[in-house]
Amino acid sequence: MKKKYFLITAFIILALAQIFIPANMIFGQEDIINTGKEFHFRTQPIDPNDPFRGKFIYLNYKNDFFYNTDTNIKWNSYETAYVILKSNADGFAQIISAQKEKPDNNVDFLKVKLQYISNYKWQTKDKDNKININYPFNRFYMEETKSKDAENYYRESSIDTNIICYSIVKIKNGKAVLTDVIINDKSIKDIIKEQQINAIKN
Amino acid sequence: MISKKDITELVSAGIINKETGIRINDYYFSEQENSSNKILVAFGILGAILIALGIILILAHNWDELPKSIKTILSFLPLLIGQATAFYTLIKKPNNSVWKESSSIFIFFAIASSISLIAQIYNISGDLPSFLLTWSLLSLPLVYIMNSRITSIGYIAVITYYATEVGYVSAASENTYFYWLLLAFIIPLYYNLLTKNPKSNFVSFHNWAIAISISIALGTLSNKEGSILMTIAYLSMYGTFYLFSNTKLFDGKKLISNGFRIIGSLGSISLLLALSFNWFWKELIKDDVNMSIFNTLSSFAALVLTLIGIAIFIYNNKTKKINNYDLIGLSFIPFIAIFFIGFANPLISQVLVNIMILVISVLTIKKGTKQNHLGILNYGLLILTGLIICRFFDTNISFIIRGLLFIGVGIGFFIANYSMIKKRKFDKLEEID
Repeated sequence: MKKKYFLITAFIILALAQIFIPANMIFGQEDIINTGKEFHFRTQPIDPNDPFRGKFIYLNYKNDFFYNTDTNIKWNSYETAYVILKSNADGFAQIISAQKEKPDNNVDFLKVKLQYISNYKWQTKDKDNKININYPFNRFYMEETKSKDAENYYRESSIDTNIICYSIVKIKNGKAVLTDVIINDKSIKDIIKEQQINAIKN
Repeated sequence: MISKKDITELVSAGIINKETGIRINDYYFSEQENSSNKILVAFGILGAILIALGIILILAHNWDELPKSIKTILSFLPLLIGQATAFYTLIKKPNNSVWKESSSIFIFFAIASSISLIAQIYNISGDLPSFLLTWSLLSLPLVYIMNSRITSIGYIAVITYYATEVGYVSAASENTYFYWLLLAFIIPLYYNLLTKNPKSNFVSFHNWAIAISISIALGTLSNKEGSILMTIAYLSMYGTFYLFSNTKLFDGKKLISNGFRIIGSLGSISLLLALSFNWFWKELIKDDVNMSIFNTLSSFAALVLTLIGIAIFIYNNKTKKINNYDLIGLSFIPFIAIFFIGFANPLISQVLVNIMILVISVLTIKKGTKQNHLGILNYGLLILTGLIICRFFDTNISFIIRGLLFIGVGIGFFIANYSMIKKRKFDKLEEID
């Protein structure tokens, strides 16, 4: 009998832990959405050969790199870095610097993983080296019936240079939540919904 | 065939007493009940997996029309259903393995679905290794609390995936110490199964799962400097598997349920065949190979696995009467010497590996003949054929010799099989006389 009570208690603790982990994810994300600072990240034309990725659009970003100007810092591929962000004159996010230690909370920064480092002069425009990063918000999930249309629409829009595509990201304390993808001032979700309604009407 | 009704009749008529009736009943029907329970467990698990996956797929549709709050609540739904069922099982049916296994495996999948559905709602790109780690840590207690053996198999699969993701796939491959710790957590359950429930199918599943998992994960310990030592590590691991499958714990087990033996044997032979070429031995005498190779994780893995292998060999010698030693399982011991000879003279090492394979094949053929076992006999012949095929690629042997070797082994196959079958027929006839 003792064993049974022990097992039941252990199970209740486990069940709470199993609920706590996803619940904690929700609270963390909601906190960033509600209190984080909004940034707009320009997306870039995507590779048309990039295979369709299922239920999400794969977003590529324009400013996903920085030049290492500080010769005292040696960056390695795939290490974790903190990039300091600023909105530029167009209203789009830009990396102004990067550091290895976590910055104070009074600046806007993002924790990222570095990708490859290019040392060739033609790539780095004569600067020391160009460090490419991977933004942790490159997937935008949509309902499965809409994601294919959305992917196609996004692809066409991003190839057309007159159209401005960007994603809205909330950032707080180094963490980010992608909340929407905008194509010419309209949410991609609304655009696809309208398109699908029009398709049915016609 | 006697039926349960017959036994009741015999008892009530006073022909046999109640105890005898129970004993007869147990003799005829316990096996039957056992096997029908096994089928129930299997279908229970299958059903639970299908329902869990079905719910996950429906939720994964992502229902844009639903508000985020409802989507969030829904992503907890499978987990809550599973937990409620498991809780009911613990209170009302603590000894029913169908309920225990089905509810646990349902929770196992629900944990992953909750986390990934929330990642989907919030567009989290996610970090696969940390997801797998969280998943395994949240499922592990289920294995012990619910005594769920199928969850344990799922757990082994997840931690193996974790090891490959961290050790091989991720460009920034890191060490996989954590995998070994996670694997160690499953040992108490496995030992318990082996000793207390040796006939269960779950023992065979675990034998296979653990052997495959370790075989995959061992390679993550390889690094640039010490990679050549991984040959010792892998051969020692396969040898250890083979010797482990020879312990008392596996006595009387069917070959198919003994994953350690099959993987240990095939692994040793394939690795030795690969080492019978000269490319590996050429690597050994390269300039950049120096003492620093012994200061690596690979050398540590090689050392530990060799010691474990030797320890099991000594244990087997003490606990069992072994008449003839199987060179397949012990090949890792002479190989260490062969490996070091390679630094001085690679050609001698290569020749020695070839001789070792030849000896293994001959001994296996001999064992097959002695035990009158067609499977073992042909396995020995196949090893020999493998060796000859490998030598076929070495261009410095003349076509005539290669041709003659093939013809020789081909004839060998015919004669060996024919004479064994003939001998069997003869033995049968003698028995009848």
